[in-house]
Amino acid sequence: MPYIYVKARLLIAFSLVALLSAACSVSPQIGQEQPYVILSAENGMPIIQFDRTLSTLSVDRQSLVKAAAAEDLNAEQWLLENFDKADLKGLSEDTGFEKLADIVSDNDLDAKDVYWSVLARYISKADFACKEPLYYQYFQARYNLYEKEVSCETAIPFNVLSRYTANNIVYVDPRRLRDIHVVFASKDDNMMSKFGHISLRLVICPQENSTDAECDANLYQHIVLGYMAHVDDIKINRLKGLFGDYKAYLYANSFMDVYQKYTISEFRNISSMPLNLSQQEREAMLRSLAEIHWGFAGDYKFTHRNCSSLMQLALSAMWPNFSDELSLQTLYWRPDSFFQALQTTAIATSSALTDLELAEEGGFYFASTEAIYNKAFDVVNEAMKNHRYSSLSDYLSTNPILRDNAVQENTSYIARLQSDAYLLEAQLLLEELSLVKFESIMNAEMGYFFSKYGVAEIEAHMHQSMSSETYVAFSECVLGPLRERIRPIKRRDGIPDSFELASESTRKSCQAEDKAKLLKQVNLYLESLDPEAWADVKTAVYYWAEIINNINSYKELGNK
Amino acid sequence: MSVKELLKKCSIILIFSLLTISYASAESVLRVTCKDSASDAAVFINGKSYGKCPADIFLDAGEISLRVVKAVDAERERVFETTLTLRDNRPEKVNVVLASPQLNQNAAKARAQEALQKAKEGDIAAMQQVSDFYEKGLGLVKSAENSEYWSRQALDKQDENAARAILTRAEAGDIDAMAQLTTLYEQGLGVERSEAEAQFWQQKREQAITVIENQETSRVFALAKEGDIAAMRQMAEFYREGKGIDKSSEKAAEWEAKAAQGKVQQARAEANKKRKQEVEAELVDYRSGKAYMSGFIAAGKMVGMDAKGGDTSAASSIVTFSPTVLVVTAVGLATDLVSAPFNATTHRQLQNELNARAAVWDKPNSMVAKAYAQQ
Repeated sequence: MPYIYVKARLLIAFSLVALLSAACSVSPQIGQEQPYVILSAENGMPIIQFDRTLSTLSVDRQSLVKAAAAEDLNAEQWLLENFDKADLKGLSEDTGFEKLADIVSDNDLDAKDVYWSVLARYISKADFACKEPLYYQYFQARYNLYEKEVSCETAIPFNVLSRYTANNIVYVDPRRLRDIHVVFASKDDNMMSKFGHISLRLVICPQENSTDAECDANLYQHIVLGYMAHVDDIKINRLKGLFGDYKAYLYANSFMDVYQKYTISEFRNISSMPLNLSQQEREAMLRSLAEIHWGFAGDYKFTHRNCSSLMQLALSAMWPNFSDELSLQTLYWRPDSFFQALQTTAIATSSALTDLELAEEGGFYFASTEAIYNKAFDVVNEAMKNHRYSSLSDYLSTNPILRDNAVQENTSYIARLQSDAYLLEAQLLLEELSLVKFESIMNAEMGYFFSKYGVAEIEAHMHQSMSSETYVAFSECVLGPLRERIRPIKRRDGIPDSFELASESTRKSCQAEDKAKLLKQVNLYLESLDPEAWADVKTAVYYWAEIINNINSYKELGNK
Repeated sequence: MSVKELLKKCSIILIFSLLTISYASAESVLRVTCKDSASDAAVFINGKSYGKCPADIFLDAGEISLRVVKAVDAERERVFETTLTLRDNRPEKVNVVLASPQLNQNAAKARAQEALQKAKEGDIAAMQQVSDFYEKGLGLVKSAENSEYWSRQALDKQDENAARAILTRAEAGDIDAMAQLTTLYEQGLGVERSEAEAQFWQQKREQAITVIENQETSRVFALAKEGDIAAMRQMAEFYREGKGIDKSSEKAAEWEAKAAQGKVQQARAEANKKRKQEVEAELVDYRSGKAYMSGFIAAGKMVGMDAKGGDTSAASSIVTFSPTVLVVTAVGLATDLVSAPFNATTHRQLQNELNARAAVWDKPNSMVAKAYAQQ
């Protein structure tokens, strides 16, 4: 063993320790007032030295790298192996760290372990400031190891949830981030969302030099970050959701997906209030959010550790102005109360929501679309003349095939659809709303089928029944997304870089035509497992496809 | 032999003796015999009565006109008429067969006068009757010329009446009548020949046709707009020929294209309908005859509940609202069920449109509408 580490009380003991080092590691007595040192076995000089009195930490990087290389380790690993993790005054986790780790890291890990891991990275990683800005801020404030600021990669990745792929990495350029809003989705009648939901919106511009108006209208690229629970079952368990048995993560979603979910699918309103951040604060918050997004995992408890309280804690850790705000010292577990409290402060622009009509035009308020769909229903029902449907829900509950038959048989109505764009749009609105509703049904039917048998049993059945080529398609395109959906989300030490993410992205696309053909065979094999249960899935898919056919067919009318 | 028979023999001998004497005196004898139905008919030779049939009549040689008449009633009689030439000392025999009953001279005369009166008043049937009377000399002096005159009068009157009827129809807007009237005026049939009138009715007809074509065009246009393919083709024809509409080959081509497109669409719709029926039948079969959709409705699935009774929307606010990862699978399974080419990209595009449509439709000033326009 070419190097040893020495936990020394006295610098004068260096020589004695060096003599003994060839045979064994030595743990000299440690006094609270004496410095903490890790010595080089090669030359006996300190690699790490912490002065408890002054709370200063010094590192000899060259020696550190050498020592690690000699043991075929990287610097971080070497440090982790050589740290004495005893509870040393000034060099161990404190309440500040515990609070931070509670919001930045995986809560299942011991805070002490996390502290030493992060400290090892703080000391050894050149890009630590970029990858773990919140921890960097904490350690700098405590040990001030670095004097110079580090320049970071411009693109900051987020894994934005997608219907189509398990990993949908979107890179955000801080120079294109114009604003950060607090987003509040109004309550609905369900018990678990009766106080609404709170999250943050990244207002991302099309270009760095885009105008504010262009940035505000770039909704299709805006990202929403919010704390939500991860469902590790195929099918959601309400009780687990309620009592905190699911893990919470800071999820990223496309704003338009959020918009569809709240205003179209659930007929709820969204308020979006800008936070008063400087450009520097904005960029810092973006990096911090990414750090939490990739690193944090914690219990989600409906009563006191939910989207509201977690967001408040995160904002407090990320933004001094927020933590200094007296009215926000109380931890709000109700999202509506938190949002109201924010509106009374100067750190958010609540005036954006004073006039809701203007707010809707300015992108600060997104009203429920319920009234619009009801209006579209009235327009369609009136134009069909015989008032076929008693209500919007009657329309949505009608078999899409029968709905289309009624349209196709009514030649005068078809003629009107061809010539009246307003009516055609109303008709499309209704079919699209039906599609939104039906997608959740189809998904639930699939979820039910897979949860009835379990992924393992289904996999075994398919492996036995299918040709190897079909099984590969099944595994990649059906089980793959399913596994990725239900398995624990991989937590990372800070923001991953593009190289790291690219090397992990190996899953093949399932959209190729040949895959689609194979998936048809998958259909048959799944059916053979349980024809009765699969019939429900198949039927749901049939009707889903019929709604899409209806939409395509009505769009074609408009093209004539 | 009785006395009666004896007398009969004696009279025969006497007649022969007389005949022999007559022959000897260069006269001719004409024996006129009648069948039972004609017996007692009056015999006239050259207008002079010679008693009743049967009769033996001594006459000088030469041409005679024999008329045998038997009255049926006050107005009708049955007549036999013939002419023959008698030769010296040579007996002739005529066996009379009466014709069917016909008006007697007096009655014919009365009828002829009556018909003549009516004919002069314009009665076409009477004119034809008078023509007939003249032709046969019935009640009137036989006259081919007069017969022809009244026959022509009848025809002219017929034409006049027909022309008047056509005029009435033409004035009522009947375009066929207008065409007929044009011909009548051109040829002077039933009306006085008139180029001006012919032209007037020709123009009137053209105007009427234009009006009708316009109406027809409007009707066909309405049908074509409603998607009637035959009507679309007709519109193309109208534009090609300028029927009820300004001539336009471009518009004609447009309607032709629409008709062709409509036919394709119709075929597709029919195929679609057939396919849907098949799918529906298959689904009904899956559900053992129970309509699956009604199951959805009963379970309230279409309004937020998940398929097996769980409440997805309730939990979704706090748990991952992961948009359908399984949509990839669904797309794969449904590829052959969606008639348009469909994959995740088209689904994404569909979602983008879907998200913005309500705002674009009803709130064009909203940020969502602006975002859709900008993206």
